[in-house]
Amino acid sequence: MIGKALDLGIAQQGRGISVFWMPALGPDEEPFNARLFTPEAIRILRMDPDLWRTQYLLEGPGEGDSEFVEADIRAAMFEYADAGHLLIRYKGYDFDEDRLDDQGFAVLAYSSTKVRLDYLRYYMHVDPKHKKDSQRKSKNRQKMEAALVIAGVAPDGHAFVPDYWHADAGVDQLAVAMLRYYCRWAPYRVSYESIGAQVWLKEYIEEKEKSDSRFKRPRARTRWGADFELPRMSSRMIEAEKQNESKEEAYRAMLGGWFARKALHLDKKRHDALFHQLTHTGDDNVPVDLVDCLAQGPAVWQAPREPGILDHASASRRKFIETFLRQQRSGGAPAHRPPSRYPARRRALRPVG
Amino acid sequence: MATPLKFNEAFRLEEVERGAQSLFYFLRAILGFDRLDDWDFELCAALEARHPYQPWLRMLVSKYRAGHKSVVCSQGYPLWRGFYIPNFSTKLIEGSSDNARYNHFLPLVDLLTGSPQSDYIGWLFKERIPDNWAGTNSDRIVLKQTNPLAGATLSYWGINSKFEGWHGNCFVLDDAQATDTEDSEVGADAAWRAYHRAEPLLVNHNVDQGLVVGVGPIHRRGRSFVHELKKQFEGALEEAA
Repeated sequence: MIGKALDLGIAQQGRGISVFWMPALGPDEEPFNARLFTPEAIRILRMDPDLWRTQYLLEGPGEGDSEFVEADIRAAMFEYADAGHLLIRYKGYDFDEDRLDDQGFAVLAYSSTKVRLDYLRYYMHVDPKHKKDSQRKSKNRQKMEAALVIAGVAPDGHAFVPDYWHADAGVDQLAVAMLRYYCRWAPYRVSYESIGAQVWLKEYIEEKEKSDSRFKRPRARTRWGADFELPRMSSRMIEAEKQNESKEEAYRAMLGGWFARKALHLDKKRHDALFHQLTHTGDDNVPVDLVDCLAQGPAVWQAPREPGILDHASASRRKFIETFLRQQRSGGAPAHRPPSRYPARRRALRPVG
Repeated sequence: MATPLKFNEAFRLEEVERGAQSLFYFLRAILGFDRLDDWDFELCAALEARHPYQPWLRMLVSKYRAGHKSVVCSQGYPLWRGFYIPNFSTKLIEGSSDNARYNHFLPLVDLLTGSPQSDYIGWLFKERIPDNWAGTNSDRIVLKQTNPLAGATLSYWGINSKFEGWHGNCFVLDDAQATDTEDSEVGADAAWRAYHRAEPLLVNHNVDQGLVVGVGPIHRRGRSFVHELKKQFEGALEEAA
C-alpha cells in the first residue's frame, strides 16, 4: 500500500480554485473553537480592536469602510466668507518656528485663512461611463456613473472642490455638462480617464467642436465676473495618468495624504454626494466615480503664482477707473472726488446721462 | 480490558493505509500532532478535497491566529503527500527563510529524525525512508524517489530567495506578508511577487498545487495580500460560475 498515489486527477473535475476561510467567530457570533475562544479570552483579545478584527475575525484592512478618515475630511471643509460666494474661508496651516514640540520640531499651527475665488487655478477632472450596465460581465461590481469634479488650487497649495456633477449619463450628456462647467469655471486643464471606451471622449468633443457653435467658441462667464473667450475645450484636455493598480490603492496614494494633512477642502454646504462616495469607497453599492475624478487631480495640480504687489496695484487701479467711469456715466460727483481739471464751462456743456 | 496493539506487519500496513485515507489521522496518530482539534479536521478535509469541499489546484487558507494553519498546511500536508506519492516534491516559501527554517522546517526534521515518534514513523514508512535519513539535512527532507529528476520531498525558501533551479509538484506560500510589515505596501507587494514567481515552478499545471496560507495585516489601513488574493480567487470562481 505504501507509495499508493492519491487520485490527483480528480482536481481537473473541479474549478481548481478553493478558499478556506475560518474566522474565530461563526455567523451567529459563536466561536468555532469554544475551547480556545472562551469569553475571557475574547475579552482580552478585543482590548486591541484592530488586532481582533484583522487577525481573528479575518476582516480586511478597512473592509466595509473607507480609505479615508471621515473626521479628517470634515475637519478640512471650507465655507464662503461672503454672501456673493467669492471669498473662501478655510483652515490653513503653517509651522510656528517659535514653538517647538518635545522632539524639537516646529509645531504645526492651524489658522483661519481666506482666498479669493479668482486667485485659484481651476482643473476639471472627468470620468465618463464607458460601459452600460447590461454590457458588464458581473452584476456584483461597483455601480457606475458619469462624473466630473472641479478642483481649484490656491497659491499656498491648498485645493478646493467648489463644484461637481454626476449622473447616469452617456457621452452626449456628459459633453454638454463638460462644456457648461468649462464655461463656468474656465479650468486650466481638463483631465479625463481613458480606459476602454473612454478613449473616445476627446474625439467626441473634437467632433462636436467642428459641428456645434457652442463647442466651437466657448465663452467663460465665471462667478467672479470674468467674461472672455476660451480656447476650445479639446485643447485643454489631457489623459489622466492611470497606473496598473487597484482603485483602492490609487485613491490612497493620490488623495490619502491630501486629506490627512487637511489640504484638500470640500464645500461645507455642498458636499453630500462626494462625501458619501469618499466615505464608502469599500462599498460595492455606492459608485465611486466622483472619487475617481478627484484622484486624477493631485498628479496635475499646480499652484498658481501668489498675487504680488503689482497685481494688487493693478486691481486697485482698475477699481478706481471703473468707479470713476461709473460715476462719469451717472453724472454724480462723490465727496471724495478730486477737483476736476476741466473748465467749468465745458463741464456744463457735457451731456448728462 | 482493551486488547493491546500488536505491532506486526499487518498492523503496519493497516496503519499506513489509515494515514493514506485521512490527512487528519496521519497528522494526529502518525506524526503525533496531538493538539489538533475538530476544526483542524475541517481544514484537513478541505485539503483532501473531501466532500463537500472541491478538488483544488490553488487554495487560499486563512484561519484565526494560532489555528494550526501552518502545522497542517506547511508541515503536515507536504509530508503526507511526500510519504504517499513517490517523487512528490514540495517547496515551502515564507516571508523569510529564517522563519521557514526555524519555525516550520527544523522542527519537522527533528520530529522525523530525533524525536520519540521518529522510530515509529521510520518503522511505518521504512520503504520510503533512506538509511539513516541519508540526504536529509537542515535544508531538505529527502525520501526515496524513483525519478532521478524529482527534487527533495520538502525544502524551503524565503520570498527573497532566487526562485530558480527547482521544479516540483506543490508550493506552500506561508505567511508571505509577514504581520510586522502591515504599515507599508512593501510586504503586500513582496508577497504578490512571490506568488507570481512561484507559479511557473510547478511541473504540470493540470495537477500540481499551490497553497497560500496566512492572515491579513494588523494595521487596518495597510494592504493585505491575503485579502487581495481572496478577491481574485472569488472573482475567478464567480466568472467560472
